[in-house]
Amino acid sequence: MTEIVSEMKSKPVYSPLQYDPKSRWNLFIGEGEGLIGLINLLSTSESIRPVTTNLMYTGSDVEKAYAQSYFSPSRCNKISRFENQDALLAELPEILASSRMGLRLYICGLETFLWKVAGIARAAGMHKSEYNMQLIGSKARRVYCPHCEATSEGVTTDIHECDGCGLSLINCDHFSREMGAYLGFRVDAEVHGEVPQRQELYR
Amino acid sequence: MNTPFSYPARVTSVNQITPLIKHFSFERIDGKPFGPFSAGSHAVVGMREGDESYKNPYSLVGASNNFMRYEMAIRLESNGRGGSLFMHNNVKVGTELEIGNPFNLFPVYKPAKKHLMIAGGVGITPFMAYIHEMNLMNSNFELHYSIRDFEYGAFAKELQSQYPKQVKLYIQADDVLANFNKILNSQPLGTHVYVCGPHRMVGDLLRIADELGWPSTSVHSEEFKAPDPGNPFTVTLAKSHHEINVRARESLLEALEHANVEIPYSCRGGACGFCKTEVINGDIDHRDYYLTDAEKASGKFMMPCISRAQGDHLTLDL
Repeated sequence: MTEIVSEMKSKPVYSPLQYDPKSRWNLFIGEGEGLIGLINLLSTSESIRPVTTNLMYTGSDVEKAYAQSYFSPSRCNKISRFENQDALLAELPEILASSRMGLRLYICGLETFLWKVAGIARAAGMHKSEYNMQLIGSKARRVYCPHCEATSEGVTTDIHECDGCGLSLINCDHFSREMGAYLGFRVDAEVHGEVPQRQELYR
Repeated sequence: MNTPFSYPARVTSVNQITPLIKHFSFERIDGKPFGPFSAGSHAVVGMREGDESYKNPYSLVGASNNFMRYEMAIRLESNGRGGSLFMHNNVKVGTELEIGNPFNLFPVYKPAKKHLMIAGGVGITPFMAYIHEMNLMNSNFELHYSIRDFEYGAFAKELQSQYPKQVKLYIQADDVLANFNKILNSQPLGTHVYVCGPHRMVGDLLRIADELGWPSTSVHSEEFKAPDPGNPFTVTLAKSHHEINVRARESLLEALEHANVEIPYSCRGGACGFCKTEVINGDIDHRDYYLTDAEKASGKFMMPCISRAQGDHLTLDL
């Protein structure tokens, strides 16, 4: 099973954020620890024009302090801090609806957050070349169950019990960009009740 | 890929809509509907005049939901190779021609939030079908149309009166030129731009869109190139052991067709890829937009609709 699982081409490969010099406006979007990736990008891209750069993030007071010192008025036009992820995601569609062509998004945070933002960007008509994302933090997975159509969040093991139907699912590297989730399937489909020992793989 | 099928058709109307452009309507001789097409499609018109025959692609301008009738607006190219001259001088109501199945190299990107069309001169033709389709879809669109003179702008009057808010005309005679920087500068996120017109205009628009941070996936262009003449050359067909002469003013594809060698085609302008042919020997003068740089450099393939021999001989795998 592991050979099949490790050769999936749909598994996203993340790399550090890269500034697109063709951009005319830049929207940095971060969640918690993900702010580190945004700060790295800003610090290494001298040519980013402050008036065209905005930051939206959600994070603790520690992250707030970092945001204010690195995204200072000399580097950034506007900082918007949100109570939580949902508040940020609720605001984003409106911001994109009033944005113009030439905008680039730089997104950093946990995987589920990245793909939720990407989904909003796509719904706003953006192409994947207009947003860039980096995963920072836990590699825990969002897993989709094809048996009951529920998704389980924060899965760190190869096998887990589905949050929806309770079946033991093994998750593979087949990833849906639409759902931002890996595909799980019943591990004991052939012989019910024969569930192998689970291993923690995604911390 | 198969050669697109063609139908015997009859001209049902001819209208001189500008001093240089005639508008034609066609129906099938057997009375059946044509195939469906999507906005931006072209179809090849097959003409015959004595020993000469022409096959020219033209955009379909009519409503894409009317299959009984195809419509085309054709500009007279006095220095062209004869096809448009034939259409203007010889074709009347009742004339019988061949109309090929349509093929679309310039489709509307339907999920776009807004469609921005940039037309120059006869480049308006695909957008006439676009506008029909966008009305059906209730899409947000804008058309910027550059013409030499009001009198010379096909459909200019009707477009302006039907869509006063969405259509902006730029009339060179009045010194009003389209400013692509200004047009592209403040378009909402999710806009797709489509450009059809003279080579230089298309180039300018592509360059400015790139400079303004438009991703190439949101920028669509169409340019039809008619095959330019070149030096005459000969081709050897390796499989059928034929020798064919290609005259200066005919394309290799036309020379093959005259020798009854059928190969698939659609756009006849170096864009669609249908006629891709394997070359065994000889240097190629590549003139198409279809082959990749690597394929061109390999010297193994060519597009006979538009490309020619660099020297005086080619051997083809036909």
